[in-house]
Amino acid sequence: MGWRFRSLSSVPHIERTYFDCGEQDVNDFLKDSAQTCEQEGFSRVFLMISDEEQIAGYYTLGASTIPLSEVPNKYRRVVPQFPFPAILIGQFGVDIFWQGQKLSYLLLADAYRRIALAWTQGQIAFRAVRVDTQSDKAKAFWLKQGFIPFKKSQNSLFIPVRTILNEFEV
Amino acid sequence: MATTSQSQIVILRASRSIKSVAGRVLVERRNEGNLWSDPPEATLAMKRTIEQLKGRFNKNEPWDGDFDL
Repeated sequence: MGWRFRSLSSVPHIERTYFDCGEQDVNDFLKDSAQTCEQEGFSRVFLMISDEEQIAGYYTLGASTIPLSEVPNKYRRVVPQFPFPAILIGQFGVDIFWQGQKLSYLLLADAYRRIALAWTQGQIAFRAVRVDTQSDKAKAFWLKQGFIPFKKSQNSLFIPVRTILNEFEV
Repeated sequence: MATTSQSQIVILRASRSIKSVAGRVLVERRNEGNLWSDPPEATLAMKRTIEQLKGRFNKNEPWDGDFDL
């Protein structure tokens, strides 16, 4: 099985209505909002496409911040003291047909790869990667990756981008 | 002609001393474990995740980053 990793903007006419990851919000975003969000600059949408031209999974990247008050004290020993710029992994889902084959890790690897690319190309500055989770299962997934819960909003998590860059030897 | 009194001299010296301490604190804060620049090592799960595409990472790629696996 081969996979194509594409931005939605490069394959705008791909069939999106059949995607089903089991999370209605994530399905609806791809069907109804993804193209608009791309065009209006809210987020970029990235797809993992099978040989049969089906969307096996997708995620979004966008700009975000982490409020200073949400950062654990040991991460506040740095000046200047204002919100930390971050890349937000917004939507993230793998189609039910492909679940159980660890494809979520391959999709996530692509997200990390694109984040490392954004850093190395030096067009935008950011210090962290942020995720906002909707369920305990999702939160457990990100915790296992090493993400750190916000101090107050425990369903939001972050990780210093340097952790990812180190793994890519950047 | 204005002259500096003894008490003003004492205040000036104290002020310089405080600024010096503040400067040292700032430097120490910059130098002591900055977890943004020197974070803990990635978890095993993240290492395994990234390992899948590490060989495909090329920092000279065009921005769209699209590729086939």
